[in-house]
Amino acid sequence: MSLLLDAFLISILYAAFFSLMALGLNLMFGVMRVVNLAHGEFVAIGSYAAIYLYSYFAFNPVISLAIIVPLFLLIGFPLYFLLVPRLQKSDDPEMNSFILFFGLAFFIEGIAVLEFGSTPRTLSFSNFRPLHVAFLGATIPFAWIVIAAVSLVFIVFSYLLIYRTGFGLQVRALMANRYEAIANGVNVNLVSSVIFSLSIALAAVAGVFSSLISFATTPDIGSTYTLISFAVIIIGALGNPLATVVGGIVFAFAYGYADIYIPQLSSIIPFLLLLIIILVKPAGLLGRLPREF
Amino acid sequence: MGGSRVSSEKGRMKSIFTDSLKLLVPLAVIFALGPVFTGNQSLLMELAVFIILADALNIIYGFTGYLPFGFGVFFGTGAYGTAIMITHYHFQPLAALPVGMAATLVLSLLFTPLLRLSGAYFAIASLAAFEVIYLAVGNTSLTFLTGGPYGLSFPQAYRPNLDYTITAIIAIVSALAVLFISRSYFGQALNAIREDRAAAELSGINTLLYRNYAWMISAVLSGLAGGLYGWYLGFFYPDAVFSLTDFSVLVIVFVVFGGKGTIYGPIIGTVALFALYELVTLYFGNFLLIIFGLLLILLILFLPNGVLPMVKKVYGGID
Repeated sequence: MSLLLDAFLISILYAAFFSLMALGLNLMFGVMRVVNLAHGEFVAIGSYAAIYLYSYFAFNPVISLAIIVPLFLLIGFPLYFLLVPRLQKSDDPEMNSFILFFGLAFFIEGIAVLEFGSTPRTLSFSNFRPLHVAFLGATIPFAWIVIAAVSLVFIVFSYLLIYRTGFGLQVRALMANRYEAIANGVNVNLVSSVIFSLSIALAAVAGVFSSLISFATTPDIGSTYTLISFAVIIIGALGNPLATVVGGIVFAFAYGYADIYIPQLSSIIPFLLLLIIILVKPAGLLGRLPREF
Repeated sequence: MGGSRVSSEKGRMKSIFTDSLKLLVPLAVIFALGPVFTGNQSLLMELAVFIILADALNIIYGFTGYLPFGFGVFFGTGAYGTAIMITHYHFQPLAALPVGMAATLVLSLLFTPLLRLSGAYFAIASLAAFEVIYLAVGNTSLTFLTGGPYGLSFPQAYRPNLDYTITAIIAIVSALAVLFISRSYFGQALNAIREDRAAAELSGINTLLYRNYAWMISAVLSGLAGGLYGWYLGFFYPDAVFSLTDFSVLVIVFVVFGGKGTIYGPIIGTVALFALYELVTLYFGNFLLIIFGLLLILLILFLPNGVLPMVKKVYGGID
């Protein structure tokens, strides 16, 4: 019984974290129709940033957020204008974006190797006291509860931004129908660049905590995070930010339970689930996309 | 479509014949003299393998318009299918290769439903398929068959010269196959599917059938490349043949760089970029990822349709 409860609690915490990690990817696809294969690399450099701030300035990761979030927002704008408008002028931006952003992922990974070497690095759990808390008879690292809480804060913030503000209305207009949105005076580059920056900033926030809840940070860990993020948003629905949370919950429970009951298959099960879901319901659990005949 | 606007059957055959020579002669020269010049047969072996893969990808991506990002799954499956027969059942390599191809054929049939998806969905779903097979092959519970994370070793079958010769011939044959497909009704049908599937269906093309044929040909060809490559290695871990970077993404980049959907483009792209890749590895190994990353970004921003269509625009004539 306790094992079942453990799996349940851990899966809920995972769900918050994975949803946060994938949210930015989904926003970017929804608004720009580009697939950011370098998403996981932004998670990885967010993680390196947090580890750097901790080892040189002894910043608690929650404090580092105050530096990392503005930093990534600032990186986002020039990067957007450098890459996306030109990409969208090509014949098939959706497919070409795969290659473009894979190149960006290569580039970031290459720099990370030169800068940080390939030794796996992690933050220390001692940033969060007490180390463990007992909850309903299960013992959970306190850090994980902090991570889930921070994730929820950012998810709720993104929700309010997109569904409760005038800016969000423009974002949703772009997601619903690009051409009609443009015809109605939505400033595509302005909205897209903000979402682009927000997307990589959210990835970096997930990265700040990734080494505590997920994998140790190495230069090549990015592709793993990209793949997990994809699984999450496809299970939910591509291009629908709210569905990311549903995808995150499903993915996290598949992963959390498999990890406890059949650990040797825990890495396969979520992707198997993804394949099954995508074959049965190609648009995702909450998707309404028409499927080809 | 294509360069042959010659109406008579005789003229068409003649144009196919001269185009075949244009493919056959340079490739034969490269494969025959390459090992002499570079003193490195394994380099040319890899080039031959990449040319087969590029041709295979061109059929499903270039002609039909489906981008399978996890394309390498067939390569790895072919390598493992072949190696398992050699290691556990003591098959001769030449008898084991068809088994590896059969394994990829079965896998491609299994994954046929993925073709119901389109665009980004298909690309990502094929990535997930790759991940499932890769993780399954490397899983410790399959150690008795695949060697799990420890891989397979079969030094008794090692015959590099024979293997290289066969691979070079297959590379040339696959290039010719792409030429013949592109000039055939089948190739035109695939192009029609890429441009507008509904319109193709309405004009009487069985799009479902042709699309599946293209998928299977592509899969079996890359499975064969995998089998030949695995045999050449003599022993490998899952990472060596199930490398997403090497046998999926690099191949996609080669094809896009040369010009997807063209006959010569994928081969030119493969030869040029493979040589560049090896040179960068040799002289600037530390910067390989950075240089190649930048190259991909610049490629898509400035040459999204590849080198060949641009050359064609300027000089005309080639296709």
